[in-house]
Amino acid sequence: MIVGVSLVVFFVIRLSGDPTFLLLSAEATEADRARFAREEGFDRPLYVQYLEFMKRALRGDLGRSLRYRQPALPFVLERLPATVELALAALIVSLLVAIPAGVISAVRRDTAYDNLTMLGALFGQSMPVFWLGIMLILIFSVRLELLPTSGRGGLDHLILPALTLGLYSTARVTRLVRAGMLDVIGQDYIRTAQAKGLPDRRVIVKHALRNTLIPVITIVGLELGTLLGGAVITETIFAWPGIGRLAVTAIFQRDYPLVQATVLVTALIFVLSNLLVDLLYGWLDPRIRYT
Amino acid sequence: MINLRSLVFLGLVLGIVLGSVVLGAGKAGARDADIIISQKADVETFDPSMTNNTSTHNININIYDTLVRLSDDGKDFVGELAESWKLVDQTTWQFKLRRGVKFQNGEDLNAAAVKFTFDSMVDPERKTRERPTYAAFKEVRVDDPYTVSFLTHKPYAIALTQLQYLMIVPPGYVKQVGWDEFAKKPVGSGAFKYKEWEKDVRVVLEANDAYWKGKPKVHSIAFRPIPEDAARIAALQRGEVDIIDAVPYDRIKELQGTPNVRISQRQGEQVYIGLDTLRFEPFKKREVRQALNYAVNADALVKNLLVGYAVRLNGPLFPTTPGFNEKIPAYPYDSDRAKKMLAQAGYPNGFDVEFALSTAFQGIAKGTEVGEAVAGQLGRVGVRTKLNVMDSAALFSAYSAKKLQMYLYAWKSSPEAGRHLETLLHSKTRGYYYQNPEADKLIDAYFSALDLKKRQEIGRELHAYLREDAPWIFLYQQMDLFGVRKNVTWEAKPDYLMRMRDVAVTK
Repeated sequence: MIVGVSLVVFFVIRLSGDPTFLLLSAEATEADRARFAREEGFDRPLYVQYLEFMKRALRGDLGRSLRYRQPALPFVLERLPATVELALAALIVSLLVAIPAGVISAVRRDTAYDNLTMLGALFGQSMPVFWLGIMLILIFSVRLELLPTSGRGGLDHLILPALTLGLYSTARVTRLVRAGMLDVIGQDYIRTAQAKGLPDRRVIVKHALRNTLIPVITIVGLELGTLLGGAVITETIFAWPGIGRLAVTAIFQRDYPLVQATVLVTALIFVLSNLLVDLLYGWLDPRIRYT
Repeated sequence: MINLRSLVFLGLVLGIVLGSVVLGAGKAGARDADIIISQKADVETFDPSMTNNTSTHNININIYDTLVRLSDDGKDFVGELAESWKLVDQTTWQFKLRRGVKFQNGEDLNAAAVKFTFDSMVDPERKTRERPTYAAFKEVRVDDPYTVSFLTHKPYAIALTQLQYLMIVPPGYVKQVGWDEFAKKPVGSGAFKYKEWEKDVRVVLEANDAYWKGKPKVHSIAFRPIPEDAARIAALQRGEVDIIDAVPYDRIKELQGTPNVRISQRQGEQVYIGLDTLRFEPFKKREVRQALNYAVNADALVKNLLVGYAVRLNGPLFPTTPGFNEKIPAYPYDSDRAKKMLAQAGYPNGFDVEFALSTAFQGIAKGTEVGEAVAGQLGRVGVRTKLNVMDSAALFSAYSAKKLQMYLYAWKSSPEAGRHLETLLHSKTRGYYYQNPEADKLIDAYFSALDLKKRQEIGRELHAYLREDAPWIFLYQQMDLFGVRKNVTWEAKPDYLMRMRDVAVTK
């Protein structure tokens, strides 16, 4: 999979435009640009460039950023903590909201509360991140002067981007929890538990929720991968110094090695978080065994 | 069981988050420095030879000094490190350096440092990005410890223009730590010293108390990159930052309505529409090109789309370019005349043409809107345009591959020197879409005229000729807009650099 990603990103970014005009001064002549291409090896056939790239990549060398003139891989990894911090914060916000909201929705099915929650989830899933982020800045930073507008720093810097990034996941997980709970509530063992005279609260938390959590974990794992890779817009709006923002900058500047490095690192994270989910399964549900 | 395990898992995750937040919190304060400047992009490198990026130059110019700088009216040069200069002969520019200037590490700034800076700039081994800017210079000669000469290949009237961006670096320090380390921890002779760089978050510089021009009025400045326009403006309105660059035109009204904020402006890009006069049949005819100039209502674009923050141009010269002739009228908007001219040129029913543009190419403001408005205006005289909106890099690729018929383009580098006339309109340099021996002759004469009077004279002739020959549809020069807090003393300057040595805060 990683190889496939490398192949796609390598060729797509090269087909999309020429970095020389962005990198050389505006007055650069034809000869200047030809010399630049020669120095950076862009004049060789694409497949030769790709093989060279893969050969080095296997040794952990993803080349030097054209613009920052520094090795691309460390440059990307430096920004990983910021991205992870934001993704986890968004995930926690969404779980803290989504699980109770989904459970209550399922228990009070078809009540006004349920309808409102589902409407909210619908909005949450369809609201453009970009618009949401700017609205939050305007309301909480400029009007109410409660939170900083952008940048990374203390906890206060984290709130708005985490909300922005987490909204979609919140909506998605809420719906999932609700659906899962409804499914489980109809099962025989729940009716048995109720028949035994256990309090509702205990039935829901101990028996129903517990069995709903397995598919939720799957989604959360996938969601984490998406959050890590998909923070592109949120990071750009909030000037968050993470991988997503670096990727955007690199793409617009046609900084080939840097684009390749960011995409490969993101792909790797995605693969790893999926692996993590699979391992968590076995741990959370002893019935699941990999042979 | 599950509850316990889930709790452990959740606790772990929470721990990581809180941990990283606490770690991050230590570094952040409400204020990083006395003055905070927010640009779209972060610094790329502190080695000034390795970047052509404006945001980066704006940071570096506060760490380094140059020999000369553009005067505030944008028409002449004043000395910085150079106390005086003269033309010794047609190809030798000699500079007398200010004595006693030291780099921030105590090194002497002398003729040898200037030579080292130039030599390392053009050294092919180093593959510097700014090398093309200095192509006209042959070598630099040390005449005595404080006298240095720049030799050009041929008489070169705009030598100072090219040298105004040459930031002098300390040879001793560079040799000691190497270029890679220098690019991360710079030492210059400028008003501010490097203190801290947290990538994509901030660059902090502190005042150089020993600055040769007197110590700055503030203790420290910081540059905070915020790529998104809306967030950058919000940060200014909120008072988190004091100065922002690249204010978009559709936010002007809002900023004018914000109590503690004002707008500072300087002349920016010349925006024009290039025409393929070499391959596209209709544009080979001068009458057609002129007709298009009559068909486009540039005054309306300036008034309505650029809300007045632009100056209508009467040809390819900037108002600050020597030889700019303000007596030449701009093409008036006259669609009847345009139609008549098209008919006479053999196109009574107009023609189809592809019109390429990129929304924010080279800083063009409201690119798409301008393109659509022009397309509409051309439609009225029968020229049917097919708009092709691309991104900047793709547009430039197509541009240099000579694939465009008609394109929206912008130029702002060194307008006071008219350098673009050579780069864009001379057939020997970038003769992609226009080649004309007559124009070549005038341009050559213009750039080899070392006497200013003579240069202005040739410039006026060139101006009139190019307006008449209409290689482009001439539009306007737009303004670069900055948002500034009202308690901050700072104005945008015409050399495109954000020098902060005189910046001050009034309470």
